[in-house]
Amino acid sequence: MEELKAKFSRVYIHKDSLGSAVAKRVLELFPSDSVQVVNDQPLKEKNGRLSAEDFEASKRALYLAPFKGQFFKRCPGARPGLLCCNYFVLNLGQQCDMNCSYCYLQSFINNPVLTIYTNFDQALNELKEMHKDLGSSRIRVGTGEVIDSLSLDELTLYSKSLIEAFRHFPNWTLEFKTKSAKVDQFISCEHSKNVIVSWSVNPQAIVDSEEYGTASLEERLRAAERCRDQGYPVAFHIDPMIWHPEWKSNYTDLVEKITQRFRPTQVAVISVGALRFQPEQRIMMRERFGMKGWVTRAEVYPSQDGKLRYDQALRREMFDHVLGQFRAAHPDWRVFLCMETPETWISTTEQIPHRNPGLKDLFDTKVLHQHRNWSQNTTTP
Amino acid sequence: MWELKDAATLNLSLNFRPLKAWPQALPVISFNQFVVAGFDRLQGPAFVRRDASGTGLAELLGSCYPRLALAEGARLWARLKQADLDDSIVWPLIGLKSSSDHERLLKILLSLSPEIQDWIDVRQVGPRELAILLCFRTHESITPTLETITQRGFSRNIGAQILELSGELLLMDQTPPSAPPQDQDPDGRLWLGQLEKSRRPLSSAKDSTQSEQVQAMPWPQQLRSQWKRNGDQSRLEVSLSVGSLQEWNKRLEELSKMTPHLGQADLWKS
Repeated sequence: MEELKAKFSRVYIHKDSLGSAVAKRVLELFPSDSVQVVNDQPLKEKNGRLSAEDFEASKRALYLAPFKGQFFKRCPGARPGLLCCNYFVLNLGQQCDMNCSYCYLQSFINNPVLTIYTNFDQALNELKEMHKDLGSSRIRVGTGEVIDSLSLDELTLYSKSLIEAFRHFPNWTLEFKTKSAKVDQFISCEHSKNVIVSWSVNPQAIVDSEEYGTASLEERLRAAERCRDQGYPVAFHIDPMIWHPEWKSNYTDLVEKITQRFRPTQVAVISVGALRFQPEQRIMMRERFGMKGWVTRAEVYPSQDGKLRYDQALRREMFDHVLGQFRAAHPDWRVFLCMETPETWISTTEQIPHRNPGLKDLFDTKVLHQHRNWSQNTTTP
Repeated sequence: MWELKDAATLNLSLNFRPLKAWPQALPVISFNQFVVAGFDRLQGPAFVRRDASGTGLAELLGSCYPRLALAEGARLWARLKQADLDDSIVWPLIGLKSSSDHERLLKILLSLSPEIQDWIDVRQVGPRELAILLCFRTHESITPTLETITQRGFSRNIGAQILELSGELLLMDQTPPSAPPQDQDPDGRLWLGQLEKSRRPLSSAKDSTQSEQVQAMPWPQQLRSQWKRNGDQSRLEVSLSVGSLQEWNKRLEELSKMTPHLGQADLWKS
């Protein structure tokens, strides 16, 4: 908790959040002179496109506030021209306390504080409402899209409540996605094996050079082993793969570490993606991280969806390599490409995911139609 | 309230060197004692807007200059600051939102030579294209690039790309290639290509090899072939034109003879 406390130089609590359990814990943890009760979002004048300096500062200012909107949304990867998995996101906050050079939040975040939403009960109610209509569908829900699922979970303890809620949603899967190793707070909770704890992983060389403030690869794998030992399915996202001179041996080593410590039946899925970012994100990345890292100096080109990516042939080679390593280890590893184009899917896996029996469920479009109908019939509060 | 005065009695400290000369047919316009339009006229009639509150300055400037270019805006911003007037009125005139990044950019523009400032304004270069400048603590290293772009009057598109690539190479502690002589590269495309090669050495080398392989193949004379990069993909492009079905069949037959050559070259290997 001391480590967590040191991350924030200032804490703001919206007056409507004072009664929340998170606010109570924050008030106990932080010295009173660093906490301010506010009637509105602080530093609002900075809202909009943040400067590099403001973005940096936003990671050190914690804001607890109720969320006024719909918690439950479709994954942003689902866009024309891209094949994407059947994934929904539950945003319980915004901004991340860690600092990866490639983080897409650099082109997404438009307010200058790391926000944790305190009206968690409303999120749960939304889930329950949606479950009434879509309970029989196989839906995957993730909480790590615009905030790490677990890095601040010691403070929020949302994981425990979500695990409890998902015991009543047997057809649905909840996924925590993290680069931290914080699992103590929920690991002993009773669960229905429908909560996947997943880690974004990269070779330690990339963790050192591009993923600042995150847990080491070893710490992440150890935390994954602990979750597995408690019966949680785990998942790994080798995403973004980052080219560097030793990429082949380093990613071979990473796959070996996973395949030697886990069995395919213990890992729900492995997703693989390569570095990609919006062109405007490059501006902030350059300013914040300089041009000497493997991400900022990457040889990237505009792709058909407008994002900057490695040359397609290089991506194919990188994916082939990782997929090949998993296949060589055991044919049962379930590996899929994240946010990739149909061409890359076909050239790498020789089929599109809808036709791959092992991955078909992830890309079931029926569920997407059902969700669309549900969204249209639901009024945002 | 307006009054007529002699321009010689007014204050020229807001002269921000507007890009377009104020029409001779119009009188000097002044806000209180500050001339806002017609800076080049040292005497003659001037319409003076009297406004004790000072709030009408934004409206008056907006009427005289509906849209200012970036460097013009930077100069006006600095002049307003110096005269202790509200400098925030500049943002709508240059179409930007006030932010610390934009303020930094204006300060950088002010530190550049008038020639460079004018190239930026004439070519209507935007803040995104100049964002690389924000990464430099001092601008000595990037200034020669800007000077060459300006002296040679490159287009906005070419100039902005050259600036970005040169800037990135400098930030990578690499020396960007110098501009080729003007007679060999009048529009900057050659220089841009060299900078591309330095910035993306691995992909460029691969593209060059593949291009050479394609050129070395025994293509039928009536076909044009090239290895071409389009965004994140590089591909073989073959074009032909035919005048009859008979010719079409002949070309197809010739094309099929290329298959072993393509297989041997393995162009699509990563």
